[in-house]
Amino acid sequence: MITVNMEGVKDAVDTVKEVVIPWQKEQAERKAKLENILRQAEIQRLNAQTLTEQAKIEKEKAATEVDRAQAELILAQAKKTEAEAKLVLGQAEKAFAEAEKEREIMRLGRITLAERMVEKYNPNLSGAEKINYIIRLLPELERLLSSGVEILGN
Amino acid sequence: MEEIRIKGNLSPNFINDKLGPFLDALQNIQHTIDEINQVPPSPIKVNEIQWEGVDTLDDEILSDMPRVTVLISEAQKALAGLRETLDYLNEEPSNQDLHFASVRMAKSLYEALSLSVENDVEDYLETRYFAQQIGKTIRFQLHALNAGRYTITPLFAPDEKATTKDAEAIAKSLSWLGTINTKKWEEK
Repeated sequence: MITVNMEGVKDAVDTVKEVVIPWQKEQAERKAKLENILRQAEIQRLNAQTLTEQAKIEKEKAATEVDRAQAELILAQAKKTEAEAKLVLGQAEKAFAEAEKEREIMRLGRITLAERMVEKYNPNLSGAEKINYIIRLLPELERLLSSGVEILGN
Repeated sequence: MEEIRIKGNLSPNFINDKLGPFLDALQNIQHTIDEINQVPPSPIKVNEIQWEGVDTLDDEILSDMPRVTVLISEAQKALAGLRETLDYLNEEPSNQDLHFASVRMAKSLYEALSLSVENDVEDYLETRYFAQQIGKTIRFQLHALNAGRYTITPLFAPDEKATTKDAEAIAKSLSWLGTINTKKWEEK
């Protein structure tokens, strides 16, 4: 653990403790869900890739098969594998799209977080002023959250 | 003064990649809040960074590395000695003996840190890494304070020997820890 003694950042530290940390807890479930979707999507994508390769090998095998009946049988199997690959790839794409939707929700969540921070200090700002401060806070929140550094309680 | 207790995964570039951006973000958030509150920007200063866990590491990671343990312990003693000397110097800013004593302390601190890193610990990466972290932490602290901002540039390469000039620079930087009135130092 590291202890940093600083001067002049009281409001920022209080805000992180009172607004950012509770928000992070709220988002933890969503983050875990996103990671799970991405993991599943990646597995499906790899499975689809393997099936496509397998279908290709089966087609090549069918092309070199002398026995016509056997060749047709192999080709039918190749088409079946190819169809399965397309199905799995479709599932993977659907999962990636779902992950993107989750990411979008999380991005919106960060905007809500920045809005909460601004409102904590001045709830009477005009819409334009509020947006201006939210825009300024967003990259800083991104840096703070992606640093992996956590502020501990007292 | 705010005391922030933080934790993070201590990766090899923790100071540069994690702590620096974290402190930068905190500083910019504070400045934005100051603007929202319509008050002048708060002067922000890092007074001290303490790296805890040295004692527990002595028992765990460093148990089979007595020499390195001694070196780290020496570095800690030198740091404590330096702070004490600087305290005295604060009371007597024109005392040349105290001035040179603080420089000697600063030099021995840096050498203890350098030796910890340079010691034959190639097979003990965790120990080597730990020793480097102590050095980096202190260097970061000094540089940040000296520059008055959070720019993180190591003052020395890990294998570089400290010269008297370097040691003076360390001692001067340490004065920013608040134990010395910097203005008095400058006037000396």
